[in-house]
Amino acid sequence: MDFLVIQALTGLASASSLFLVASGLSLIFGVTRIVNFAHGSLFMLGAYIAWTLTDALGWADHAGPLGFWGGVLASALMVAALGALIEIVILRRIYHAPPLFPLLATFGLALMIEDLVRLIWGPEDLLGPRAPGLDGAVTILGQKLPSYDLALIALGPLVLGGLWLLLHRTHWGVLVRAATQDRAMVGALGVNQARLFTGVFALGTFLAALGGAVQIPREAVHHALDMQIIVEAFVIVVIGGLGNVAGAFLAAVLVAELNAFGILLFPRIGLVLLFLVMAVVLVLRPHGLLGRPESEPRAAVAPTVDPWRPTGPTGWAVGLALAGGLALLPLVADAYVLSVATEILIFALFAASLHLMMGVGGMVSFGHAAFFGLGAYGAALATLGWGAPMAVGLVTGPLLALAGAAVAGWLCVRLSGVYLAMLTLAFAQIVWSVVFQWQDVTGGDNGLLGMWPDRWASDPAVFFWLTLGLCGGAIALTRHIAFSPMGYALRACRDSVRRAEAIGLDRARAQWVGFVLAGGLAGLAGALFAYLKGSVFPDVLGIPVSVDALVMVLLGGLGSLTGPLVGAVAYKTLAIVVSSWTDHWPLILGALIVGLVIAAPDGLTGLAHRLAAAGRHGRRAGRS
Amino acid sequence: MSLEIRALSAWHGRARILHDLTVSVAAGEAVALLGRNGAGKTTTLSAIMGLIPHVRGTALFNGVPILGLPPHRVARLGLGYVPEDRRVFSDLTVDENLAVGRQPPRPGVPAWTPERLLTLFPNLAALRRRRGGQMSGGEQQMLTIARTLMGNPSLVLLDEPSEGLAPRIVDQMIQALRAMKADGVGLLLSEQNLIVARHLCDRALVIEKGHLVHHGPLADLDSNPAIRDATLAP
Amino acid sequence: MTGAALEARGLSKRFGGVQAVDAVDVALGAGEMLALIGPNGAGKSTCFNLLTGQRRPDAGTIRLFGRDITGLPPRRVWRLGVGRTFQITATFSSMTVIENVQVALMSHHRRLGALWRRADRLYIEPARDLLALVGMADQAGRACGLLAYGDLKRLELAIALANDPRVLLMDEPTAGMAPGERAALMDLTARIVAERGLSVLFTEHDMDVVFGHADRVLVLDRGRLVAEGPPATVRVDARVRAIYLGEDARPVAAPPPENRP
Repeated sequence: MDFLVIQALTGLASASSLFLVASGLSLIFGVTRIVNFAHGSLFMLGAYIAWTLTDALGWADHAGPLGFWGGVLASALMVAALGALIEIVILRRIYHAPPLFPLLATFGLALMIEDLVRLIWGPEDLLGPRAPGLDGAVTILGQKLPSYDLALIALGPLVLGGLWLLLHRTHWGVLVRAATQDRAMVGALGVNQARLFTGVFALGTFLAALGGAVQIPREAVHHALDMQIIVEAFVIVVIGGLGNVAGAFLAAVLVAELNAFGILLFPRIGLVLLFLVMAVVLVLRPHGLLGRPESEPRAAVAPTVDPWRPTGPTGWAVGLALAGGLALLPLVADAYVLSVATEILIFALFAASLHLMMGVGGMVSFGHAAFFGLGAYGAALATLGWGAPMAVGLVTGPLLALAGAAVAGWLCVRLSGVYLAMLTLAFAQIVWSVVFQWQDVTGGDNGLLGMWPDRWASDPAVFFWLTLGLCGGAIALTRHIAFSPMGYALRACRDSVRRAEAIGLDRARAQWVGFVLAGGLAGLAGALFAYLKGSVFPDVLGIPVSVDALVMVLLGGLGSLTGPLVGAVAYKTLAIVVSSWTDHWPLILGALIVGLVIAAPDGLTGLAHRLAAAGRHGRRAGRS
Repeated sequence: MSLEIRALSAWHGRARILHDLTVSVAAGEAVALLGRNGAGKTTTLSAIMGLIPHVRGTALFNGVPILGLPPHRVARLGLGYVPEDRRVFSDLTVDENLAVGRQPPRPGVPAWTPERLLTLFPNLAALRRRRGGQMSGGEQQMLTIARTLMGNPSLVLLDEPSEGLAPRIVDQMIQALRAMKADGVGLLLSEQNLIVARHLCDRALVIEKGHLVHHGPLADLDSNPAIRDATLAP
Repeated sequence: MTGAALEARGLSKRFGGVQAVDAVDVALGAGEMLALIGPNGAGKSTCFNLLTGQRRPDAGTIRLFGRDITGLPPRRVWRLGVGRTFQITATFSSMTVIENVQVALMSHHRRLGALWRRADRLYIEPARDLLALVGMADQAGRACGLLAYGDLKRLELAIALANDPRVLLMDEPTAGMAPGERAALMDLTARIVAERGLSVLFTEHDMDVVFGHADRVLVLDRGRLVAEGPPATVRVDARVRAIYLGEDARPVAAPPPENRP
């Protein structure tokens, strides 16, 4: 019993730090409508800088409590200044881009910050200082609780109260709340939106960095903190209700306590428990505990004035010529180039399957890697577990992905917009943790090794042709689906749910079918990937792979059916080339992504269209 | 001269919505911008406010060029905007909605306070702590106008203020707008019909498919049934 | 009323502390054009959303040609022959005009589940016919996102007719249109109603439309039915004038003298 009380108090102490991060994320989303993927990175940066100030520079040793807390605050302020800079230099230019592009930019930032942190502070875990004056413990019911935890328990409600006063009792706060509802109108009433956004972004960043800085006496600082915390922050924000600070507090307490007790009750499936709770909350309250439905959910795809046209004879001719040209590649390329080309083909299918879900179906996924990974494991388990031939693995892989998508989709189609996207991320993390922890079957962290293609396909050229055939066929299938009645049903639900339901469409069913199809096709890509690499690790289910898919689709442009292919080829080629030059490819890739988002907010295909239009315009001007 | 617009064109994507419009509103004057739905009235007003990225032409407000300025700069020069769909902040109380519109007093323009506004819109007085989202359409329309007046504008752009309101509420709104005009606030009012315009406006501009097709005293429309029937209400 | 196309009894709906719709009875006769009017916030839209299944009533029953449809989701109500148009147009903006109608036809014929067929070749002729009916045949190939507002409203009508409905519910069909267009759209609707033997329930703010096109008028105020009858009767009903039209006659033609230039 006593032990449980202490455990609960420890949970509350963790909740404070989580609340700081999540409330910042929520505030930023509320006003700017940006899902800040770099929020975890700013948390991490706050922790590292606080470590440098208090420990490496010795403020905590020399100046006692003042030095420690001064260091924590200074770190948060420094990161807040960086946040303001990021808003002014990068985000301000892309607010008018489709809603997912800022997300892409913040992902680029996250890549850069992670790499920079590794460059500056090295790869080792850093142990923080103890907080002077709070390094003892208090005895509660015969159990010891660190005094520092008590301070943290107080910090959460204190910040919550402060934020409430700021938002409800100051003019600035009223403006922030108004902008959360209608930013354009706030501008038309004479409020400088740009300054307001910078302020909110800096405040949100400050809260994230503070959350990171206060953690250093409790937890080692390391460079994987960013992804770890961003997932938890997403979960909290979704459970609490997007844009709702009080909801974030409730959810932070819930999540922290689940973590604290989940470890006791189900040591191996703590993460699963967390996501199950999230799923239950979202099914019962689709907009979170205290959230309210968005009045007008913005479509992921802007209404277009160029409706898609089915592939005509020219299109088929070009497609077949391209495939035919690619089929000649093994005649000129060596094994390395062929394996690179095979990988690009696989990712083209992966991107096309995500586009089917996002571009055609209007369902944004942050966790598409789940189905890619399930495909890979489904193939690996058949090959290594049953000794089945590759042909069987190429069926069991997609089937496992299909089954996973059927389950995830059943839950996801009850939601829409950002909530749906975050639920897909949660599902991917569940699958990841199951695979990671179920060592007897999946090999856990060690992965499954030694699953090569059957002898007939072991030659790189043959495997390339096989991949070309399967991926080419599957990509053509996604295209065909877009113009099938089912594709029209999906697009109808994407364009206007109200109208779709008023013409007898079963939205949930249509979207579920789209979700499952997309998952199955991603599974085929995953199965091929497993045979290409000869092994499977839990990494294939990780957030970075999900984000790879997202980046490829957004780079290519959501509004076009060829977009994901262009995006996949561009992104994958870039990744392979850059990582062959330098170890710091995340840094360079991140910078490239940020640059591209600013230069081409409508994707590469959009950029090409604009350049072509400018070219036509130029010629016409030249003639006249 | 208060607002002076020459050759204003605007685009939505690739579609050109406005074609070289010329509009002028003298200080304290009330002008009606008339036309069918889709004629370009909303686009005209939002282009003036800086809410449309792709525009061409010149617009001077009290001698200051405003085309291309961000909306908040335009608003701070004393140009108020009451949008078509009201857009009150539904989570904010009436007082908070008014606070968002607050701007420093402007020399030569009477300064509005919440108290003074509530005498102009008496039905808001009892609702000061009510959230915008819990108000009726008519109350919301009054609040939007009051919120705009908190910025002490010398000219207000009103986009179809009578749309969707019950006739009795429209009468109340006309009273308020007349009081504003009597206080020296200029109005540029877009409408599809002449009902509201007749009570307030001296001059009318008629646009059709983004082109200016008629301008002159409002009475001309009555003596020129061809234009009136082709473009407007019976 | 027996033989009513659509009949609701004791319809009630509460939102938080507000009784939006309070024991309302509606009976739409076969072949009738029935207008539902009332001030803002009177409960017209809620009433509509209850009838179309968008929301579930707290109490009351809804019958379509005698069949109980209370609480059915919108798509089931649609399948039973109720078409609807929205106050704010809802169309598929990424498709062409004809594709919008084709999707509705595919749904009507339960063909939307197919994965293998090419959809753009399905129901081209019936879609063209419907577009011709609303006078939009020449715009079939245009992007829906480029249509003028009045044309969107007509497209909505074509979509609503795709399931060959017996009852049409139109929520402010002429909102946002110029008066000339309003009359044209309502004349078109009246013609279709007569040709196809439809029954229409519509809400409307424009009194010219209401009194010019409705066979009968229902007046709602604060969730309650306060008057019902032919337009001529409702127009002079003292209670209706007080709550809705204003005490004075509308000065439509005569502006106050001080505002004459």
